Amino acid sequence: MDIETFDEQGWPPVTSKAHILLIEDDAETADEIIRDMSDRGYMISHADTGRVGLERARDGRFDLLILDRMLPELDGLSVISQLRAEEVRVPVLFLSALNDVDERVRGLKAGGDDYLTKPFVLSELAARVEALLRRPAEPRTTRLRVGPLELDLISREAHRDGRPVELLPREFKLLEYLMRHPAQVITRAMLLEDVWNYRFSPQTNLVDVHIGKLRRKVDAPGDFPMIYNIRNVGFVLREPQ
Amino acid sequence: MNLSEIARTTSFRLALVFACFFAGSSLLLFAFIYWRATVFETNRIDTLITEDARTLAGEDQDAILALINTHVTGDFHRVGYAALFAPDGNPIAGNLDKVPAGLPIDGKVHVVRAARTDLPAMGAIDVRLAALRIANGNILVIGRNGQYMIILREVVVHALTMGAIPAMALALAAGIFLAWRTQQRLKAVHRAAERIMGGQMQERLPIAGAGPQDELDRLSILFNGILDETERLMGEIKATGDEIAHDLRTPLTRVRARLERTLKGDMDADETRETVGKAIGGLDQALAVITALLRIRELENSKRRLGFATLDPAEVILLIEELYQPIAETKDISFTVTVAPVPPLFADRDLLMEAVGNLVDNALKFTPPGGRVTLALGPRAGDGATVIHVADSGPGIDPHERDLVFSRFYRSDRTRHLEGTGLGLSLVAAIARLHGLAPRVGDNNPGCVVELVAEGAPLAGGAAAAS
Repeated sequence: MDIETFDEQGWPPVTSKAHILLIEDDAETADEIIRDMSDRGYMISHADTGRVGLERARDGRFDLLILDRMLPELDGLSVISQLRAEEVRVPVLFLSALNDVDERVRGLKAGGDDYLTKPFVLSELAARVEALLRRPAEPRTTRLRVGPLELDLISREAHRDGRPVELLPREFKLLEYLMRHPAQVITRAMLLEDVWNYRFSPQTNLVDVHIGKLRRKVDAPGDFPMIYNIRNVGFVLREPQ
Repeated sequence: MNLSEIARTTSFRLALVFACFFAGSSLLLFAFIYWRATVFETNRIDTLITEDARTLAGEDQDAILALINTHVTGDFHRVGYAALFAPDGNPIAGNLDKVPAGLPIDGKVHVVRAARTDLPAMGAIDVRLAALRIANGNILVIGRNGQYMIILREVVVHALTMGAIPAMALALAAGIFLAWRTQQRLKAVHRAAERIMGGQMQERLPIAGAGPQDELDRLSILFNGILDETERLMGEIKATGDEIAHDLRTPLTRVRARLERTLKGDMDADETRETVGKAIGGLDQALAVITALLRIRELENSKRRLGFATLDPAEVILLIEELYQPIAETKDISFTVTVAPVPPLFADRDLLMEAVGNLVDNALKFTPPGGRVTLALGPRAGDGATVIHVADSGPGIDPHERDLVFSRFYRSDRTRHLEGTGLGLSLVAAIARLHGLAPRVGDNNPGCVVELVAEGAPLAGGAAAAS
């Protein structure tokens, strides 16, 4: 039983209508991002210097900031440090051409919520934007539920329709991650980073194998499938329909 | 050949200094000889005078007169003075008309002014004279003038001009020659260096050739060695650049063809989507190559160790096992992991994981179904150095390629056709170097073994381990 595959177009983000501020000085990159985000239904504003971006971010109308690391006048790190100092809590996604080992750490320490290295695929950006916009309100919850699927975070047990699903610890973590982001496109890189702390693109289809194993346990024969493949992007877990 | 140019050269200046020094020391030497000769001659003359005077004084009057006469007439050098005076000072015989003023009659030599009566043209000059009273009360005066000193000086000056001045001229000439020769060689070196700077990297600095190497040759040889290495590296970079260009062109050409096919528009929606999807896949591969290249460069340039901490490498190994075991299962490869206790390592967890992951990724990729891959962590037999060991039963690596696989951007022809950047091992090597780990490749009969060895690596000893 092969995993069912959809195209990305079939999965518009549920967070559309969110208002995003893009602070990016490169006109072409900005244009691509604006087009793609608009196509996905987001409202997007653009600032091309750090100073202007900071001014506009301060008024608090935005749900998310996409912030370039290198900017004229005021660089991205300074913008975010300034915002955090002023108690502006808007989620920030860093974009950087610097793939430096330490750069990521620095960006997250300054108050960034995610970090994406240029060049990136637009669907990767979109998936991360949606993940940031849909941050769970209650991270302290002890029980996750998506349709018939139930996960007890205390006893570390999983059930589908009341039937226990035997999971290895890492499979549990993978499923937990997917269930915290239901009906949302999750990329392979996101899974590697967040489930395995692995910041490296393997040449083998590593993530697919793990997802495949998990799916065989979660979607037993005869069940409605809950885990889907999104072509060229990643995976989705949703209620059976 | 410009003289002012020569005058500026070090060799010529040295030669000039040497010539001046030579001249000075010659003058000193000659002055010393002249001085010693003068003293010696004066003493000799004085002894002669006093002896003559004493001998004469012992003779009778007639013998004295005869001897004075001989003394005066036989004096071809015009140096001799001899005279006999009566006790009242009247001259009796000889070539002096009076006892010179200021000459004590004590038989000792004194320098006084006196004029010869037989040679009035000579005038009164300083003469070394001794006077003494003989038995009959007459006064005998005998002596010599300084003429011999003039002769001595002439001899010395002659020797100086005949010997020292030509020697000085010779030294200067030698200096000019050496300066000229050195300058010719330097000019050749200069021309070669200019050609090299002009981009002719195959050019080398000239070496004088026969004979022992002088300092200029040694410098040129050293510089040529640097040029050899630079040329080799440039060649390597150029070849790598060509290869990378080639590796990028292949997927990009395919992408272009696919997009062109899509543009014609005679496909249905699904086919179009699939073709564009494949095109994106090709672009992703090209991007992956570029990203890997940038990452290697960045790792190689990285000096900072912000993410470094003391960690147990076993953690990383077990995480890699967990991550890769499922894929080994789906490929029907037996993947065994063994972990023996080792001291903690000072490492960047993410990077170490990336390196080990890359090695396992590679091993799984190259091993055919039914094969086996092993990952082991433990101390090496013998010195106990920590070793991370990845072995597979894949096609292995040719012995001649083993040294190359870790060199920057090396790609084996054997793996080029396979999907991926082919830069995995270069990346591993870059990470290993950053951690002070030595990468090794060996034979697994069949297959290949890659090891990362912490030989004197920054192990977390002392304070780091305690904290």
